Amino acid sequence: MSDLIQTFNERQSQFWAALGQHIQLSLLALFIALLIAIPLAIWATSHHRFANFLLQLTGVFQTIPSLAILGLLIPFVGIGSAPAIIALVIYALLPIFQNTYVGLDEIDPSYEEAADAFGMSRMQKLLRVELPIAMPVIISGIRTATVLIIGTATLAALIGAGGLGTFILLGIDRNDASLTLLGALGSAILALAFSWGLLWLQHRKLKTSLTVLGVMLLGLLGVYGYQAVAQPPVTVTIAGKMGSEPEILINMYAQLIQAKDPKTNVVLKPNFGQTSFLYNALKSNQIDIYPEFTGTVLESLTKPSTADTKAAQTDSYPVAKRLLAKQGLTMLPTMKYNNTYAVVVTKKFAQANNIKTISDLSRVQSQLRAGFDLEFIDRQDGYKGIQSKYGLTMSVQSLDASLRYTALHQGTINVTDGYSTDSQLRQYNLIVLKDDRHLFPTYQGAPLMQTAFAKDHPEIVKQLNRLAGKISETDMQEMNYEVNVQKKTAAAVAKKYLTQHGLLKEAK
Amino acid sequence: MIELHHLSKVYDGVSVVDDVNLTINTGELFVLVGASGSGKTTTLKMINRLITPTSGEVLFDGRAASDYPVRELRYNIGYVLQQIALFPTMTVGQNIALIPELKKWPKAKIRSTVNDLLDSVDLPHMEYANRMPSELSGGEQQRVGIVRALASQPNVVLMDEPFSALDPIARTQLQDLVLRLHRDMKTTIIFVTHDMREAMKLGDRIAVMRTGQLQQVDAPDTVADSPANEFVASLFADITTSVFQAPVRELEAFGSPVKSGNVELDAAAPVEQLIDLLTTHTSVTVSGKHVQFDLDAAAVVQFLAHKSEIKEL
Repeated sequence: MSDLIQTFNERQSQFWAALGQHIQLSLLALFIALLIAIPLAIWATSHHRFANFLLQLTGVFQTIPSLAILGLLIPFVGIGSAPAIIALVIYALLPIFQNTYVGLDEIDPSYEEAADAFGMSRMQKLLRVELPIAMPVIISGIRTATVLIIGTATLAALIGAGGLGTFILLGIDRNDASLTLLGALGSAILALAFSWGLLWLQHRKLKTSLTVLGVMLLGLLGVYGYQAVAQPPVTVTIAGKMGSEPEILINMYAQLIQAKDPKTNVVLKPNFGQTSFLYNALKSNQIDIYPEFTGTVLESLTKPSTADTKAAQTDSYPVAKRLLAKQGLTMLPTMKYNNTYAVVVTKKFAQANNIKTISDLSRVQSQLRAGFDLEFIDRQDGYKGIQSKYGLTMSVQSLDASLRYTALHQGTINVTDGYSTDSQLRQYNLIVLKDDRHLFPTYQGAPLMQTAFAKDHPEIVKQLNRLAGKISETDMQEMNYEVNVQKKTAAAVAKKYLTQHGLLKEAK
Repeated sequence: MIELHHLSKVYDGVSVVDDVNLTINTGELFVLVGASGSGKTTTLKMINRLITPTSGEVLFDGRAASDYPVRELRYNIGYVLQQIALFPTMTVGQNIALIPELKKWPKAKIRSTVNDLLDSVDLPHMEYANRMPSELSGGEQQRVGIVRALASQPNVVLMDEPFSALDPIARTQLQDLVLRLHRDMKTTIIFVTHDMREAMKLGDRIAVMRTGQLQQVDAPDTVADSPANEFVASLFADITTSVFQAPVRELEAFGSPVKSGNVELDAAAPVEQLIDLLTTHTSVTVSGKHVQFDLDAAAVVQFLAHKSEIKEL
């Protein structure tokens, strides 16, 4: 609990911004859903055959998993708020449509007869008789939809639309329960608050309901209007995947670019999502630059031939660069560090047995108690490769990724797998053994952008190239440690590195 | 003057209203009476075009109802429903003000009309105008229903079995209210009921319907004194036969188990004989072929109360 309060205090401004984004996203989706579902339901009350069809259709919409909707939408509308809002609207249609339809359809026919007999027009009847009578049922549908939207909107963070989900994802990524809890509690409280507000409205008159909805709509439009007017023209948008490392890197990019030309407007979108979201966002010009790894390029973004794969074993960057160029993308020269699988032991164990490479492990084979993550155990470039390429066999137990470092630290195991830039290496004083037989693929990082962008901005390319060959694995471990454990901001950590290595000064 | 010319309505080949011809005079309180399925309500709804006739026409002052714009026609025809149907989301005052508002009356005029009308039906406006319909008793609600229909001073008011869902006391009060309002306002009222007593009490003239056809149209006394056919006569048979002539066996439902020592009376004996006996005895045992039960004065009173209620078709 005290952790939660501390996290909240540290990230208060970020939290309020995410909350605002969340509300904005949810309300916009809600209003669009209202605009579609209510008129449709009114129309359906006089077209019963279509009503059943529409009920089933909106019902089917709801059964599609939200992640699937997001995934399906990306090819059409890209990433960011658009697919998130569309997905939320799709979800909200059923409860609003169903309740409006049922509310109107179940009105006692004698009220309709009276309204007709009094000479009311269709519109007068709708506004003065039918909607007011159906209002409690309609509002209860809106309540259901709102709670659904606010909950589902946490997934928007996956595709770079922001909101409280950012906290949840960040928390999962950094194994920080308070962050996740902060995001989850925030969205739960938000859902409850809206639900109570609407419950109150349910028993108010139509005029009050419409006034409140109108004020909310105006407020929302005001915010969008303000954002449209106030936002200066964006020149460069840089995004990064989940985690501290990409966030540090994109802060470095921004600082390097602005060191050369302080007038360049750089927009950062950290924790933007998974590889495929960033890749698609880059291709559809929604972002301009993001840091990518050669290993990921060869594995997921391109289709290397057998010869390419072989060539990549010695040097992956030229192969990745060539294959990306075919897609109209440019990968700048890579940094020094290789963020790949690592076989990890404690410093104490390494010194006691004089172990520096993976091959050295054969000398202490009988003492080895390994804890590997399930995927590592099963991969050809994982434990299977260790067995075949290094001829090592050891007693292995499977361990969840989040537990392995603690287990190693506590001495339950003495060998584990990890990634070479994990902050825990620094935190627990661990040693990465040298992969002397080149089992693990190389994952070297560099900025990725459209070739057209690189041509238009040679000065940016020049500045970013200053990072080529810089930053060692230990540097990266240290910086990850400062962000993840010491809770420094990524911008400050990035600035410290650039300053210490004279990368900012020289530029001026 | 409203004229119904060869008015017919056929649903799925079944004739519900069959060639009805009627003239209703301006200012008349005209009652259509008949059992359910007799076509009386369908006839009424063809007058304000809630139902479109299969053939024939309705004329208002010589002009066909179908020639009027439908909303304008309905603006001038008040309507009172059996289900009352006060709009539940509006206050009593708002319900009454509704049609004057649709007609775009000035606000002040609407307010004074609403208040005057409420006061005139013993629902003081200070107390009732801002209450919701659900807070009122059935009888009070239907008073508001009648006031709502009268508020915009229509030329004609149609009432579709307006009192059939009310208790006997409220029904009697509202019947008196309709008579008073009609006398004061001289509005033409067409009133549909299945209650012969109600028809006799209210109607300037009554029209008896059966399976879609008119049986007789006359002043109530004329219908009672010289019924046009046996069906009409049968409607009055029970009313004209004194309940005192009914055989005591009819009181079985009000009887109690036999106790020994009471005076005995044959089940076929008339009620007046029973009353005679009860003036000197507290209890009488009725014996017949298959029945035997005791009756006291309270049972007779219950029987009379029941009789006064069931005179419906």
